[in-house]
Amino acid sequence: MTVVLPKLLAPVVGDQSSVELEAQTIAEAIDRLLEWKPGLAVHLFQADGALRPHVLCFVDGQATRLEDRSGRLRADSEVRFLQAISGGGGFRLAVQSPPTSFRSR
Amino acid sequence: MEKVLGVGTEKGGFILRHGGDGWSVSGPLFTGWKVTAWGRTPSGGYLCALGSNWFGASIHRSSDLVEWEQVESGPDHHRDLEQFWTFHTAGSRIYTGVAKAGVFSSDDEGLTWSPMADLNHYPGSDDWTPGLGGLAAHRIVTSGDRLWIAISAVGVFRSDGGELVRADAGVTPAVDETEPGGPGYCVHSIVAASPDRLWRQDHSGVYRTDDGGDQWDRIESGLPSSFGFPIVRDRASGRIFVVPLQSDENRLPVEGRFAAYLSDDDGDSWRIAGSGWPDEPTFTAVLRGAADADGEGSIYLGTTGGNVWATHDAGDHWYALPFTGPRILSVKVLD
Repeated sequence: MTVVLPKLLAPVVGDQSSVELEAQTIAEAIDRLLEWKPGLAVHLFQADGALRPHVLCFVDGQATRLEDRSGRLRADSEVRFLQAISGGGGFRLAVQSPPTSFRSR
Repeated sequence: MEKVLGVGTEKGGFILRHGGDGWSVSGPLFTGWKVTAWGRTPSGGYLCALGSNWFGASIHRSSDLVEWEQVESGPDHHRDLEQFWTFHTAGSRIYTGVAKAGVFSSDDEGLTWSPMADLNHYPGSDDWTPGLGGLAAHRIVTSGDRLWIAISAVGVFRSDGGELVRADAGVTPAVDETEPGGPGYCVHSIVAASPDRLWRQDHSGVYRTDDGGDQWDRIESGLPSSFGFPIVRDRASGRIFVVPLQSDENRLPVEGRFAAYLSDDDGDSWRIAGSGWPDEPTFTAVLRGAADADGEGSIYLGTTGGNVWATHDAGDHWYALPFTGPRILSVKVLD
């Protein structure tokens, strides 16, 4: 499976904005990701482990706040992190309606 | 001798160098990130603090200002760690002040950080409320065995090597209902000349103390206004500098006359600092972290308009460096 990261996280990951990982579940993917680059933890997650409020996550095109990380992943699954275009009520809408390009993957 | 300046902006960091051919600019570093603070390690390394409205804050280290590495064992705060506001190195120890209202220290060149429990768990601190800029521990100052911590919308704390004590007596609080020893003293910046003599720019005015902060007195004679953010001191000349703004409601230079003011007499009186300031109306400000002095007559002021003003003769003559960037958050003399 593949994890794709925002290019703004270059100070952590350099030019490598995607990484191939061995993971059967979303939880495993997060664990492997943070083993690869521990410095991502502070930028993607709050101290309590929850996804940062203005960070979006899509698993195979479906938006998730990662509250349930038990979902199974395929070998070709993609976990993609994005920075939200937040403001007004748009943040909630953005979470509920992922961009078409990601939904169709 | 080459001068090296770290300039942190809303959209990245820049390194400005002054050599035989004048100033050169390299950057941006950390494109798209707020660069909120710069620091030096005891052995001569460099620290840079990044912040983001999306991705939080982190510390990065470098030995050459080119290759940077994130500190993975950064401060672990029991409150939200919103931003690193300052680094202060004293002897073999580095301090960092953060929002929300925390101080951490490192004894290993910034690789690992320990909380200052007395401050981070100060009685009642869970009820402190932030000012406009956040609940920021934004200045850490040491002189002799004393250490002071300035926290916006709360006040100044002092340690003489042990227990923290409040150091706000004589200062007009920003909140009318403030009780002595309580929060509500909106300090904007502090600077020390000795363990006893310090100056502070507050929300409510400019003050001096001669007893380490047990008692503060107003010193505003000659200033066009008492509001502002930075206060810096040139160690060689003893001059003190502030950048007055109209008021807390109007955070712009009075009538657009952008200039620093200096005091030659420890704050008893103030006057416009020398010459070179823009003739045209200039409505820009200097934030608290965007002013630094090298102690040898050079002072640098980074503006919210993205320019850096400099003097190399302790404030007699000023000029704008050949650089315009985004809103400047932090300026630090690195070499």
